[in-house]
Amino acid sequence: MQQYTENELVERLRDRATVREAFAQVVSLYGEKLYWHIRRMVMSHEDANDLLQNTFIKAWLNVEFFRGDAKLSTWLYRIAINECITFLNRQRTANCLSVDDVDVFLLEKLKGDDYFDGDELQLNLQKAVLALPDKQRLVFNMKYFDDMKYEEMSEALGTSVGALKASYHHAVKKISDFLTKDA
Amino acid sequence: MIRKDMKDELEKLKGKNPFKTPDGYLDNLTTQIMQQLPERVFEEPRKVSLKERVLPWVYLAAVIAGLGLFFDLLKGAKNGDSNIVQNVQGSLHPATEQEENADYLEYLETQYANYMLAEEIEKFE
Repeated sequence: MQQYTENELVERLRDRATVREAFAQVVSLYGEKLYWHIRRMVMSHEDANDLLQNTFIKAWLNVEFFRGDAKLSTWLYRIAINECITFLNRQRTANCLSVDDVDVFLLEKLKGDDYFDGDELQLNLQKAVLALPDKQRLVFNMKYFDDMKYEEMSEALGTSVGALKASYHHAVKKISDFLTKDA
Repeated sequence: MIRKDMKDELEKLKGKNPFKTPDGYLDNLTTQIMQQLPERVFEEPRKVSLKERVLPWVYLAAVIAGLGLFFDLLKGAKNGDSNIVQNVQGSLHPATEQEENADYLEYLETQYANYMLAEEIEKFE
């Protein structure tokens, strides 16, 4: 597959003759990254796979409305984040939990998951991360695991860089306190 | 304040991914996703005719002319008494003045429409 620049890719997405091929390249470029981002939010591989599919289907159905004023990755991240938040809220409703409760059901899923290969420290870290509010968890994951720049995160989340830095700092503090308490 | 040993632990865990995927999942990801995408029929962008582009301007000119005529008539009605006085003094009959105003407005409207049309016709040609 020939590689195109972001601008060329956006142009090809606008052309009916090349849209499908261009979209395949978009999936190839961002699919894995998005998968891991979603996976860290929802823990389970099956759920992450479903949400990733939904993300790309939504992007495909709205591809002609992508104006190119944000980066492709930002656009896709926004869709993926909305999918995750909607999914988690639905799961909480189904499990009769408020948004402030720790997502215990996710932790239970993780413990029994064949596709989780972490030791006790890793499990404790995931437990600590699950104790964070959704948006703060997103910020922590994007910075700690994906090493995203604050400017990119700001575009994807619609929050100022300053607020994100503060949120990340607090997240790290909460996680450290959580891990210390457990140790 | 974050304890230094806890900070170090977090740093150590940073590069490690405890999550796994089924064999071949990531290698086949693009194919799998593309296969799930629904077929789409992208509609042709609608061509806008010259008439559709010009008509709104003509309507706008007619509205402006109509409003102008309306306000002028209103003004004429308000000055009704003074017009009668003017008539007595031998100046223009109010009906004639109104006709002249209407003619003048029609003239302005035609000039405006021609000006707008000229540009569009030039582009079209």
